[in-house]
Amino acid sequence: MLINALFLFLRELLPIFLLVAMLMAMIPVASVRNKVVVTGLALGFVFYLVLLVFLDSLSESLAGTGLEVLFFTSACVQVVLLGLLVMALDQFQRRSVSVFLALLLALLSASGLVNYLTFYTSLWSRDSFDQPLVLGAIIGAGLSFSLSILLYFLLYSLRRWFPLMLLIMPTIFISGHFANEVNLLAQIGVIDSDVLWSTQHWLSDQMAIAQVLSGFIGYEATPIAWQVYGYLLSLTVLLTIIFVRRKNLIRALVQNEEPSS
Amino acid sequence: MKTCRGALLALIPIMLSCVVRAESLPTFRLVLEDHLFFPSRLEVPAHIKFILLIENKDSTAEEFDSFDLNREKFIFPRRTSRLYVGPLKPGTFEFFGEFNSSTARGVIVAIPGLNQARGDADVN
Repeated sequence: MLINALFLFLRELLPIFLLVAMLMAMIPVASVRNKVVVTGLALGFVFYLVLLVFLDSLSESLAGTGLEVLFFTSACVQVVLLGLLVMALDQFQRRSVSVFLALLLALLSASGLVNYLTFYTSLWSRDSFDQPLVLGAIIGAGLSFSLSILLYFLLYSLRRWFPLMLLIMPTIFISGHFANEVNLLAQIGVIDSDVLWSTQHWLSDQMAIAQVLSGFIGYEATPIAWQVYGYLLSLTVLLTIIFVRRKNLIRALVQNEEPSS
Repeated sequence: MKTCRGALLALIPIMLSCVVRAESLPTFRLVLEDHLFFPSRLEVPAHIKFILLIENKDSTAEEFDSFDLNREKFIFPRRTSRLYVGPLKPGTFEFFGEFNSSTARGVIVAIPGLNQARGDADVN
């Protein structure tokens, strides 16, 4: 049960930690950064509460496929938001950048919280609360926190000589998340689920490192063809926008430094 | 904003296809009761796509999870959820309940040439 609790934490909440780290590296001005993170997480919690109220009826809607359609739609909107964010950054619209970042964080955290907190609330109805569950959550939180701090310092150190990495990393991250949600369409029978390849023998989905990689880059041991197409499409479109507008983007990212006192 | 609207409009066909999709696929049923799956070994035809109905008779929620099948689905208390699975290669595919993984476990066995109609019989 400890492993299960740990995996669940890594799968559902690690992406939130990672996005916060990327977002904090992208906005060096502390006051703006704090505002965006707090707003994004608070909005995500509100979305979660709203979802919680309608969760039952949502799951029954669209012939029982409502939740899958909702999560896939959310992933699509996240890709669009990242594209809009890059374009806003290109035009030095800092207010728009903050809004898009907060919305991105809100959408990502809402879907993570729904899956994760439902797991824990379902356990409250039991007579006893298993110790391994708490331990799994604590280890998951510690691991996620450590990884996000490492990612933050890595990106922050890269901003001087390779500032575009501040946008490339979220692009890989969001594309991976999008690809994982594409699989939901196979689950509800909208697309075929032909597995393209299998790396189960090398790096099984049941290993903790696979869960971490899934959070980072959307690793999947047995991806279906549509997942790979979705990943490549999202990556290509976003990276093309970044590459085409790289001069302005580098200027915007570097000039966005906090004035030294 | 126009881009956002365009992206959302593009999703409408997906939503519609979920509603109007023809249900001509064989259907198999799993029942979750007292945090146990019945049957714990489900035989299905290989190389054929099928629908898996999972009925949760418990008063608590459960998440059907399978790394082998690449599927995870939340099942509300006293509700039935459906999943599209396959086509599967012949073999054994493990599944478990994420919230009660020590007890809620089972396998789907894909067998070549198994009678397709058998799945529908299992439902009734």
